[in-house]
Amino acid sequence: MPLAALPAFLIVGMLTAGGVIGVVRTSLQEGLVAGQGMGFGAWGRTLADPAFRRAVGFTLWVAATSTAVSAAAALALALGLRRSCRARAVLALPVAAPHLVVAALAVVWVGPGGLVDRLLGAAGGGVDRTGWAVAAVYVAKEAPFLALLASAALDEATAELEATAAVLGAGPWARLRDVILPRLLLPLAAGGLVSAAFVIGAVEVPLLLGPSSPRMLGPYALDVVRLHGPVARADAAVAELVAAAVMAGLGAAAALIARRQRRRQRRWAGCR
Amino acid sequence: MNRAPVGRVPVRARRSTLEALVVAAVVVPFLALVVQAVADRWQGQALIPQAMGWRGVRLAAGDPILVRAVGASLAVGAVVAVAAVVLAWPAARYLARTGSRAGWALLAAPVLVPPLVLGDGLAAWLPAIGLRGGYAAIVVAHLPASIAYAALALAPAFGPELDEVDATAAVLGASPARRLVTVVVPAARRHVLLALALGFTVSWSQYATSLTVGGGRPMLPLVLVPFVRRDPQVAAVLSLVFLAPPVLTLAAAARAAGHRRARRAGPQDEGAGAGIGRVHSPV
Repeated sequence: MPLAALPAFLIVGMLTAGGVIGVVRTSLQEGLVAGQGMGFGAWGRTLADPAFRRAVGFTLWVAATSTAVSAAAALALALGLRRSCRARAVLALPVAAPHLVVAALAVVWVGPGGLVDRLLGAAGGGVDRTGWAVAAVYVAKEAPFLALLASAALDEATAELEATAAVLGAGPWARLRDVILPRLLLPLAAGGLVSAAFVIGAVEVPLLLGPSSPRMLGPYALDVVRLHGPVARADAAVAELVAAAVMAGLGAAAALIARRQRRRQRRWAGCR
Repeated sequence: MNRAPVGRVPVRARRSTLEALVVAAVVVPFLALVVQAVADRWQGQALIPQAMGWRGVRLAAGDPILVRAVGASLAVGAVVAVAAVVLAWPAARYLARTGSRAGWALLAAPVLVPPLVLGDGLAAWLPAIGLRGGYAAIVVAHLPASIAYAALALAPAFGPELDEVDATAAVLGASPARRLVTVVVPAARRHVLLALALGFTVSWSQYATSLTVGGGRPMLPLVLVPFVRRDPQVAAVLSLVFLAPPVLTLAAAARAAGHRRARRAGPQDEGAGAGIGRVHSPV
């Protein structure tokens, strides 16, 4: 590796590892002051906390729901907009918009007394305990992202395969099932896992739109410190590390899927 | 002659309808922010505001904390973007040439770590190197993700065309530093601009890292959150300000992509030398 390239890798590696190590150290701290004592007290307390367990379940539920809906919507969008560059360009807008802007937009539309309430003549929504507003924001952000990923997979090679299948007598459904879906599933799965990882590590959107109980993991960690003071920083660190572990697992799974996709593409390229 | 079967919508018309629906579904929700930003009074069940005006803009522009937050976000974003591009340039060159998966994985790591972990972890040890809750700490915390995205934007620039112009300048006797400044960077300027824009946007959008390492320094995402519930009109104004750089980045990306497509088509249309000439041509 050339020396000039090293600083970027060192800075990224050291800051990222430093961040994770810093949080691990905080999670093992037994008092307010560093060096006062180390132990697994915070881990025991947090893992036994019913609110934390609910937060884990709720976070996974929101991540799974938003990712599944996003993937289905992305599939429909990618298939419907195959030859439309204009629509694909427009789809990039919600992808580029910061999550907070989409959350603010969600408040304008679906918040209590928002435009949807006004359109329906409703008095204002009740408390959202299902997290559907948070999931809706992530669907609005992730469905276009996944649709763009899927569109990229619907390339000329796919069109050639489809044409060949049509010549061999395959109908539209057979072509969708046997040609298009196999080409889309891996990129959609890899992108979906990355999207789910983002949702699991999210803070600002659930903070704005999520219910106060159950909390998602990010706001749960902030709440613990807000309610119990700096002494609870170790407990918050545990919640953050659990989110990080799930994200890392999803990231690793996405990387494996992407590797499989590359192998498959090479195999297809070899066949042609 | 091809004719659509009777009773069926032609494919082109169906596609246009779907296209229009998608454009409307994406654009219309954002228009609500514009309306909210100029809605001085929008109460009860009214579907349109009862009074329009510039109250939101006046309040946002007249609040010193908000103005400071926007200024700080701009300044931090600019510093992070420049630092990220300078650092990412050689790394992207290396990754583009070798395709090192381990290298890409390392650069992707900060994107897959929760921002709260990165921020809280850095807040735990940045004071040890003299960075306690200031803008310098925020810049440091924003760097990892910005470097990753900047490298992603820069890597496609390092193709055979760039090598060719670099080699030509070397044959003509230019020193490596002069080649970099006068030939290579200008030839890759669209990617550099895109990387700057992406680096800036990533920093601009950071909430959790700014919250945890900033020590209460006002940044745009941090001051936006309380307004979303308290004063939707000011929140809409701030959201539009918040949205502007990503939209500009998107336009830059679309332009860079259009240029790449034109370059790829170039040699077929104008002969093998066309690519180099086009790298130097104005936008």
